[in-house]
Amino acid sequence: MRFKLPAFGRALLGLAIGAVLSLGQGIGDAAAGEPGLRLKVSVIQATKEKSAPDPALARIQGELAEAFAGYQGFKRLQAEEKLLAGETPVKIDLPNGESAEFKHQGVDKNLHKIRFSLAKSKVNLDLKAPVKKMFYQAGMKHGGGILILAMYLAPLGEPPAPDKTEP
Amino acid sequence: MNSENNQTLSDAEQERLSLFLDGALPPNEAADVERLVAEDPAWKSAHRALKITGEMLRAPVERHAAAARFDGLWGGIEQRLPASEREPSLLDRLKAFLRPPVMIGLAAAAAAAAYVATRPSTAPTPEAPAPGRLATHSPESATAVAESEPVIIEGIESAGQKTVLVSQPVEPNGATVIWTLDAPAPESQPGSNIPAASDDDPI
Amino acid sequence: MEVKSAMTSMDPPDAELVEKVKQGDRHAFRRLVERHRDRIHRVALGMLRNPDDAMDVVQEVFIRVHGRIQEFKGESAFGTWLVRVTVNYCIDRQRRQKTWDARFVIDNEWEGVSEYGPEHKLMNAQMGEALRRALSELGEEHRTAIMLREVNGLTYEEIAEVMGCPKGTVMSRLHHARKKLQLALRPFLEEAGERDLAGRAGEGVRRRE
Repeated sequence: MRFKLPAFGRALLGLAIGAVLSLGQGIGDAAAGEPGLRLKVSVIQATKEKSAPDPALARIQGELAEAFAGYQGFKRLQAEEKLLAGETPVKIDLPNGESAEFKHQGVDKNLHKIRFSLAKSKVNLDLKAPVKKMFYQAGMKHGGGILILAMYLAPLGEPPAPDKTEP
Repeated sequence: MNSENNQTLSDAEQERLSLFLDGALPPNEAADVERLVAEDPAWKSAHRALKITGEMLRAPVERHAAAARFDGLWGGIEQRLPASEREPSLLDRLKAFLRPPVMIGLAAAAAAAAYVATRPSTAPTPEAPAPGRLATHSPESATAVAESEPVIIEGIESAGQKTVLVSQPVEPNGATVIWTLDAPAPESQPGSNIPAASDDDPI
Repeated sequence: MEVKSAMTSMDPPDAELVEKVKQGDRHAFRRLVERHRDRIHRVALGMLRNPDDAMDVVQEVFIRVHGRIQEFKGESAFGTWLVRVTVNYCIDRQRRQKTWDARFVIDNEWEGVSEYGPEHKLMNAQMGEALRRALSELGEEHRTAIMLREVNGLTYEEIAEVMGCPKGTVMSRLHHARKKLQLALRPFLEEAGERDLAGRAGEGVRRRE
């Protein structure tokens, strides 16, 4: 016996199939279109002795002074910009011989899941960070002071706004 | 009354100080202890230590309590209350409402709606996004949402000799700092005379 | 009389709401939950030192209280009875878990501590560890007493009621607990310079008020 749908049933079935196809394509588009992320890292040396302000750090000088109140001198040693895409890790060699590694592990609502590792120190952190918000790693001894990594995630394709805090 | 030992209080003196801290001494005794705390180094030191201990116990509780949100609390409780006490749920009300005549009427309305939705339309429609495109927020609003969200640390592993501390401010716009510090050698650690907690301890 | 009735209906006392709950009034129970949830949450935070567990405890305690509401005869304040249920539930939970999964012991975010740089942060962490050990070695009665007093601000009488022991026992337990905790922290206080730490800790807490 062949089953024949009445017209109303066919209409509903058509609606349902159309909805499923649209949703599937939407998900596919979203996955294929995931653009990746810019990771900007400034490697800063902080010392307790006061020194002339580093112009490269002008935009975050205030935040550094507040977050690292025991330190008076800040100097940018290196600036890195890497693309975080898919789950390919990126590595940044640091002046103290350490190596910082970042791996993007997906998105949770507005937050990017990142695995941050320091290889020689055998430290791994899993964190979730929003874009355009500075966060820091600090404490490794170097050159009479400590190293601070100022980290910042920015979406691809957007020029950095000059008035935003970005290393 | 001075302590016999200039460095520490006797047991009785400590107990007296404990009562003083709790406001449980009679006024004349409290005044006496207050004078000792002001003038005697051992009393002053012990009093400060007790105050610091209390503050250390309180501070994180205060911080977590202030950040607590009870959004889903009542909903979670209500679901587990006896059914007789609960307000009728939407499903209960719907079941009471849906009787055969109503069902027939609803089915007819649904059929009419489906017909209207699926027939070819000749009227011009506003330009709609292509199928599959997700709606996006404007960049400004997305940025505003993102910037106010804090960095969340989900896990920390330290297999080497580093101590990892995370400093996060109370204000959402403050800076998160992940400190990696050299842990000192065990023999130089203050307090190393405290016996290690046993894994068999109930807590 | 009319004014009193109006005030009663706006903000009825616990006893009145409890009677309504005993008769099945769900809205009255919701009022009680909203009135006491912060306090119960703080008790659970102090006992368990784990924010996730503390939130679970709040819900469980209110479910238990609702189930046992007929047992409450008004001999003590409802709030005190709630705290007692909370403390007992937390103790049961710790006994079942056999470990104290304390996510925090002390607050690394004392305002002013950062001014001393990472060395003091490390010391802060070491103090926290010493305090955690000392708390775990106290035993649950002494630990409960010190938490209820220091963290939740209960009086000796209230603690006695919650713990089901005489007031003198409460005083003795507090004294013992403080002695042990002070002993654990003494090396750090001596090293740091008690004046600086006391000043900073006081500033940090005062600024939060």
